[in-house]
Amino acid sequence: MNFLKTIGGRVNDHANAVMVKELRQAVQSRVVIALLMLFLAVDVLIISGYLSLSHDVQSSQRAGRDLFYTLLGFLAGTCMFFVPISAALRLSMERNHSNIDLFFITTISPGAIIRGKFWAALALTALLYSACLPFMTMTYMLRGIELPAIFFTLLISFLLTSVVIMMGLFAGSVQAGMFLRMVLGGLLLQAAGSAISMVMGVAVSSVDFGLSGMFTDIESWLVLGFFLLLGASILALFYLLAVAAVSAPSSNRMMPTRIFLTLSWLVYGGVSGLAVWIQSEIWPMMIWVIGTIVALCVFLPLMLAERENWTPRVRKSIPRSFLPRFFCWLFYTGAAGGVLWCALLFGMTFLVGFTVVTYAEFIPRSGSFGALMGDEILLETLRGCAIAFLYTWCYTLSGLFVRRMLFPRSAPLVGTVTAFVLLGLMGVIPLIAAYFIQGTHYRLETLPLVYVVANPMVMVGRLDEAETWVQTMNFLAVWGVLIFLVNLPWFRMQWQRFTRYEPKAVPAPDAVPAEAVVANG
Amino acid sequence: MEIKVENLKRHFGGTKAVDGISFSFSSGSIFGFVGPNGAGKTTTMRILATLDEPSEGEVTIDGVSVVDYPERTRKCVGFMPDTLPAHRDMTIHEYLDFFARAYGLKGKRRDSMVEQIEEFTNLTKIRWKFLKDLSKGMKQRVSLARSLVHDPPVLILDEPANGLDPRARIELRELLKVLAEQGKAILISSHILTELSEICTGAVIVEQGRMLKAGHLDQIVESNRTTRTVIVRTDGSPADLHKELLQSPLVSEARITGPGVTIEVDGGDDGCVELLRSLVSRKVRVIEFHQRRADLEDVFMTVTQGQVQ
Repeated sequence: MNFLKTIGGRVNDHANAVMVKELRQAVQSRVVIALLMLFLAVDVLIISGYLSLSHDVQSSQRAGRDLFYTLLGFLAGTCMFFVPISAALRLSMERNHSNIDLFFITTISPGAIIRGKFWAALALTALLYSACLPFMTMTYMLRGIELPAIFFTLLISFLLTSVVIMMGLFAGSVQAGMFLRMVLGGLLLQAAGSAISMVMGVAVSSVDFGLSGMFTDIESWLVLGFFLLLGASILALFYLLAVAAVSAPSSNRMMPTRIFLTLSWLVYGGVSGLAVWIQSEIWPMMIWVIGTIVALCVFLPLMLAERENWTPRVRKSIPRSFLPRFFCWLFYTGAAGGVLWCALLFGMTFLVGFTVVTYAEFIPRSGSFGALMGDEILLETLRGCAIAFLYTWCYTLSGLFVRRMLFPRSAPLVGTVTAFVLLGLMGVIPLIAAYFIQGTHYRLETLPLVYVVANPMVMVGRLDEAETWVQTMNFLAVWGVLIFLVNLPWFRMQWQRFTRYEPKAVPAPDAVPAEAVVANG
Repeated sequence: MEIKVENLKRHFGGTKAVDGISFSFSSGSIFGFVGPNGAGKTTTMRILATLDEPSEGEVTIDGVSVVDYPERTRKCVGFMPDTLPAHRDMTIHEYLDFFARAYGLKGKRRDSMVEQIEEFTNLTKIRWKFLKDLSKGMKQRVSLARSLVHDPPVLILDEPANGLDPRARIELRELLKVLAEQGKAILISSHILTELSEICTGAVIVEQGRMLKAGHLDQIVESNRTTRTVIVRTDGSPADLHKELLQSPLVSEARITGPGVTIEVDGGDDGCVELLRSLVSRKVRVIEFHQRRADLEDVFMTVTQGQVQ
């Protein structure tokens, strides 16, 4: 008994403090109890309604799966919308600037805060799943569905819910104004909606085709492994971002995220190369290229919002010699280093993709890579990615330039916002001008390039014409180089500021002359 | 343990919430932080508690920068904000237990610490009450208990007496005295200046983000006084005494207050001695002659102009 008490005490001591608090609150809260009761009642209603209203339950070969889809839709909808949104709202209220919850000033680490919130939300999800599980397994009795398919779908659904919960925690951890919060909330809802669609897709595939039919070859296992790895990476990325958001502003808070992204880039690059080698198919490489560029296009404007000065706390860890200092500049929190990090990662991705397509025959075992040589789809993908990144680059640095010129004393975030405003203005104003100039002849598809070249959304539909592609590329290249050159002083200034902190030497107290000591006895 | 605030600035756009405040206080002292609404008190305290970062300047605790080492600072600072605990679905004991966990206290040490604090703040009997069911005074008590739960050597209390009834205020005052005797360095902001005068050893007065006065309480009060306020009473009529006193070159102002006369005497303590001697030598039968001590309230009213930004 004492042994159990000791073990219990140790577990209690090592339990995450935030998780304990959240679970205690959940148990005391009437909302959770009410939700659970409501959830069970709706499940019972669905089953009893289906059984009593459906005329061919006993003879139908689809009764089980139809009921399963309905229950799954309800479960996934509740878990993907309610749990992440409630976790996000709670964290967001605790991070309120005017009334911040005081556990953010305890010695508990930012990582432990996010983990505690995550485990508590996951426990609530598990509670909902366990409440639904008996009803789900009951569908097995109604024919048309296998138990492994039920459990597989529920497992995938649970994993996807955990990813959406982490996204919710990130959305809630950002201290932002109402507008940005609404944007983040909208994105979270969209992510939850997409996750529900994915769950339903998995359910249909695994139930209709059967699990045994799905995993017959190595490729299907590879695909499953790839998507599980991708889900884990997204979860880890949002965890790191949430931790960064709740960390002290003076800390080097973006470094773990950048290291993680770089490592992910390397691992996924390696895995996709290996998959190409084995399978002689281009899709792994395309996923890697597209995934990298999409991530960079999202991160590049956000990098501008990072700090332009470093506290002594961070500066104390900056190396003195040039090369290590440069590497640290790329990975440490900081706007200019972040922009260059994005540019370098883009350059390397593009180079690798281009090399594989162009020089595949020179790579050993070219029979495998050879399949990619001159592949038009991959070349087009690379071309599209290059254009997308260049647009992002040009608008981001233009936003920075406008901020530096017009609002030199504003917060770094203003640069990011300005970039988006510029995108809107430069995309729309030429179109309006064209409308007034061309009058009744106005047709978006045939407008001269000068009116649409600054609008990436319009240009996407025109890039299949080789001439347009070359002209757009030239335009973006000139714009990109020029805007980089005019912002060069900003990069240089930050590089100069990024130096190791050397505390000012404190003058030693005046030494007492030896003769005075002697004289005083 | 010494807490130093040096040339602290915090700007929100064009608004200078804190504009060059410097002061220091140390273990065993209670330091009052006084200023009208919007003077920058809460902002300064939030920076000290690592909830905000300064635009310029430095805050150090025993030489360790609060900005550079917030994690280290949090171990030794207990912060009681002007907002009350808002967790509806937690009991007092759960709330304090959570914060003890969050500060890394484990096992029996955590249990005993929470119990001690509950006893010290007189919360033991109501420890299983929900926070939502507490009165404002009780919530203030819980908030104080929370800031003490990890036994920090530095306490930062933002308007701790706000909304308390007279009994609760007296109890809070006594608690703070005990804490100072235990060696804690306490920074406290309050609008109730007479209370601060009674418990504070030093004070800093701010207005519109700027520091007006700072230092030991006696020094501040003395530095602000050019005259001495003295109450004089004789066995004669106050009107005669009023006339008599106005003839003295040492008296700059005199007014009849009830049975006596209140005067402003130039020349400090020497001036008072000289005046009393001259009254006695002129056979004036003095029954009462005492200096009224100036307090923080007088200083506050003199140095601040009641401006807000």
